[in-house]
Amino acid sequence: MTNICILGNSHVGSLKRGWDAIYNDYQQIRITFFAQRSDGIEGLIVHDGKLIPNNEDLMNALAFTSGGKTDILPDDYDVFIIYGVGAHVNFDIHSQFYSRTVIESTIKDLVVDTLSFKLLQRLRKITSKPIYIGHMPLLAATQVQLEASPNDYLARVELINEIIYRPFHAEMVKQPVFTIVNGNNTHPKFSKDSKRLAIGDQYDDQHHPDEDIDHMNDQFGEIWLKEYFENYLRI
Amino acid sequence: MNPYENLPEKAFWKPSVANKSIFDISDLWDPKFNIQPSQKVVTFGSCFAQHIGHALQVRGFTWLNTEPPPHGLSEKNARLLNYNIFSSRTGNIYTTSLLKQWVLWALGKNNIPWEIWKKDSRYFDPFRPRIEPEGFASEEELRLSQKQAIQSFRKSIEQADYFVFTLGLTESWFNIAGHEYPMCPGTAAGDFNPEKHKFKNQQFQEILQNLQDAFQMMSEINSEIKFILTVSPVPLTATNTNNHVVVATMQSKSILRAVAGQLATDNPLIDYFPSYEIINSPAFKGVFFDSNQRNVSSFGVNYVMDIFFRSLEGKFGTFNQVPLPQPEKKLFADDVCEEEILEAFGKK
Repeated sequence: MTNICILGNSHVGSLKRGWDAIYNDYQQIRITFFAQRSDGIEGLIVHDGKLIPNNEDLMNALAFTSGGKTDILPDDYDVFIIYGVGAHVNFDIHSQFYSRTVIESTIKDLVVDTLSFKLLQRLRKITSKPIYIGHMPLLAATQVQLEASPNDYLARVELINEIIYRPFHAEMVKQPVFTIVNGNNTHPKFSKDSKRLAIGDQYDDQHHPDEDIDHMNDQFGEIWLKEYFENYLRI
Repeated sequence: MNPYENLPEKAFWKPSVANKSIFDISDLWDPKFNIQPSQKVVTFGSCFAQHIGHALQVRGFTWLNTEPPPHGLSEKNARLLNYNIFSSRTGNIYTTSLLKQWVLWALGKNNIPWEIWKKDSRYFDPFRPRIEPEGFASEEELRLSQKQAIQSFRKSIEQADYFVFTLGLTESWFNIAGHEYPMCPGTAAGDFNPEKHKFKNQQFQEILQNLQDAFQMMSEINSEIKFILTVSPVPLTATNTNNHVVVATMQSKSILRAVAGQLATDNPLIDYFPSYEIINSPAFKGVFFDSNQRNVSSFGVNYVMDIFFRSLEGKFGTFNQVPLPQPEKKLFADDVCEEEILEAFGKK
């Protein structure tokens, strides 16, 4: 049995619903979700070797999304995934020549203030177990062009892993390539009918507005998890 | 009846200066060009040039940046790595001969010399010794960065409506092979070799000719381009002449001022903006300098740039869709000025 802890923000909603659709196919995996909308999970703090919420709203959201747990105990899990919460690969290093120093500085500047990175640092204080970073989905395309290679995107993920995450013994997960169009967007079909993260209030599972290109749907979450299991956990 | 009788107030010291508060002194600049917010302005030269670029942006004008930093690089690190200082990443261009050297490279009339400075395992660009403060990782990386800067500089010339150049120094350092360095080798980087590195304090005619040549070549690839000259009001950090630094400064600035005046008088496509006078004239009693009497205060920079825009409005009318001036947020002490490194070599 592999126990996975996924923590994050609204983007976790698509993973959760995706998991609900496929968990019967993965009897050897157990996933516990800890999520709160927006940047509410910033209130997770290190205390006595575990991560605990520092406010009631967060505590309630964590309890709802995890099925009753409010604290993250590292011994309970084999692997951690920090999903969404500001992680992205939206930098351009190919429009002109940039030195390695410039590229490294840019990537560090883009990452260090994100909530994702703060959570990584906090998590690393309490565990040496594998930590994966799931970046916010690439924005959904409004139009799909014919051919555009995702190679630049893949190179950016590799670079950010090399510069930022490997020194933390962590790794950013690549978005499934076949969900990518225009080289740097998510196919619009994956943002159709995306829903809000359920945390136990009246907004649970409401549809995002049609024009929302940030959040992805259940199908995307399902694909993302399947690829993660296969490529990163070899399951 | 004589020619002085009908001259405007600004022609007379007493009513336009002596009888006024320094902050009421007006009509200091009669701009030649009606610079519009939509027109592209590029800025290069000595340290003071960066204020013009910044002020243009703050007021909603189009400061053309042909070598921007990558998206996501913080403002602080962009500045540290010399982005957003000048319109491309040339570093300080202190002399007119250096400007000509850059133009020759940009137009492909000369190749950039192969000289590279190495210290420990890092590589430094002799022509932009502080552009990456820790140096480049490899010779290849340095060459690619040089190539990018030259391409971007060319783009600046090609696309600009106005090329603003701030003249900074007459004192210069050359390699006996003919190329010029912005800084004496051995100061910001590199090693000084008295057999190869020669000092030259350039004089009026040479400075004038180099500037004319540079502008002429730029006009060959952009027939619409116009030029605005300024002279840096910042005194020399150090002089390699035998003169006192005060005397050397006055000589240097006087020559540069004379060159700028000569060109602006002779050529309808060249204007001169008197930032040098606003900071340095005795009429302003030195109030715009910081306590070291060298660095210009942010207040002084703002005052100068306010005059720049007020003069344009005064002559050509109010600009459309230009945001109100915002407080200058950067102090001159933060400015990127390679020459200041010379201070480290003086007696304490």
